[in-house]
Amino acid sequence: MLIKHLTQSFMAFYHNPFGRVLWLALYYFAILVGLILLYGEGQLSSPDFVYQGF
Amino acid sequence: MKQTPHIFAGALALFVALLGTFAFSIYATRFEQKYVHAVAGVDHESISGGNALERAALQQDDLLMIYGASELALLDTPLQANRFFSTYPTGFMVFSDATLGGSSLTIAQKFAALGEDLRGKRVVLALGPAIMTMAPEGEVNIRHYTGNFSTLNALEMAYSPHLSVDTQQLAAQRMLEFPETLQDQTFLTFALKKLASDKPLDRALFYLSWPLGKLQIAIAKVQDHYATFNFIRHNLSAEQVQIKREARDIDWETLVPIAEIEQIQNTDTNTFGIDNSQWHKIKELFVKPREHGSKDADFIYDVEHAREWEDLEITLRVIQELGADVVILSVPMNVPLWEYQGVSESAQNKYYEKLHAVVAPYGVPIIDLHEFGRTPYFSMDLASHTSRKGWIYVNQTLDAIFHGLLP
Repeated sequence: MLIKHLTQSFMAFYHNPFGRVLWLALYYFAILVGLILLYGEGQLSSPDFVYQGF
Repeated sequence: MKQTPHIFAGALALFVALLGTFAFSIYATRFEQKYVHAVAGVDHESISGGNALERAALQQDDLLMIYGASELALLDTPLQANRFFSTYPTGFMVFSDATLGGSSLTIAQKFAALGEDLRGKRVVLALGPAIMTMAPEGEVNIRHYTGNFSTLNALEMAYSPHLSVDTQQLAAQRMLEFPETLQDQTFLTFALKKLASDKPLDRALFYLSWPLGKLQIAIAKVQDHYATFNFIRHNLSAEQVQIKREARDIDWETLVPIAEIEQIQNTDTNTFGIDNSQWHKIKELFVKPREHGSKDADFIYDVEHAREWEDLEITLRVIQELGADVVILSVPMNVPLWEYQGVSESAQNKYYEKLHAVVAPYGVPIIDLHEFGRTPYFSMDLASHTSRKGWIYVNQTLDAIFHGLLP
């Protein structure tokens, strides 16, 4: 019953033009966050090496 | 919006993400400013590929920035400047960016990356004679250069709006001579190759790549803030965050013999005053003394033709074009040890002569500590790595530089 109610609410919201854009924006934002988490850390520490002197 | 919901939603998501990134950068910058004094007192080499902390340190009136190499980084002792001045006894502390294996080419990129933040700021550039006198062709060891390489700094050097094209071109040509650092760096390699070329088409392609270069730098800077933010959160204890400031007079003359005794205790494996930590690496050179002056010609040739001077000139050009208030501090030759190797003192003096000749056109002041060449236990080995006793003299010099008494 609850799931059906939630599904209906979601579909009603999704078919509203404003609601659809909001859902899509959240969807794209989640993708961006995922990409940042996956590839965003970068490499700013120097690679390990042994100082060899002269 | 009704006809193109995906485009509108995508743009909205991108805008929110950019806004979030911008807000984080501002927050992280303030966070770095708040904790930079605490970071100055701990080993922060693990984030030396970035420059967010250096920018924060340059904004502080009570931090003296030092750039350099192993001469000021090899010996782990409480007498090192960043530990010696940790309680701000004379009103300042050192923020050391001296790294093992550092060289002029690495430092040139660091300076270039700081750009306008460096203008008018007093910074110490510590040099030593080791690369010019001991390294093959007087050039930085490739592993050392690779170990200190920073993509962010390299990109900033290439796309700096504050440097002349001539300087950027010279730097790019040198950076391309270390292809190991450019593996998997397609865009940076492209940029450096185009920058290094004199062909008009290459120059045009380089300028066309400018927006992409700036975008890469912007992304790398956010990554740098994130790495720095994480470093501060996970590496500083509550005790380290509390900065103790205890003003006191330093009796340098009393400290010298105390440090000398400590240094002597650490040289008991040999009779040459070489630190025990270094003796096993060079003891073969001290089996038998070479004839006086027998190696002068080789030594002078090496000093005259060392490639490190080319890199120092690039650094000096960057310093001049950015208007930084840099003081060069050179550690001295270890005269008796080099004499044992067959190099006379007059030949050793060629290092100082060349140093002054290279630097003079740029008007950067030099403190060469020449007078300490025969001071026992100043350096702990042949490569002029500063000993415990040497650190007292170096600290005294840094104190005078900060307070405007030198040069």
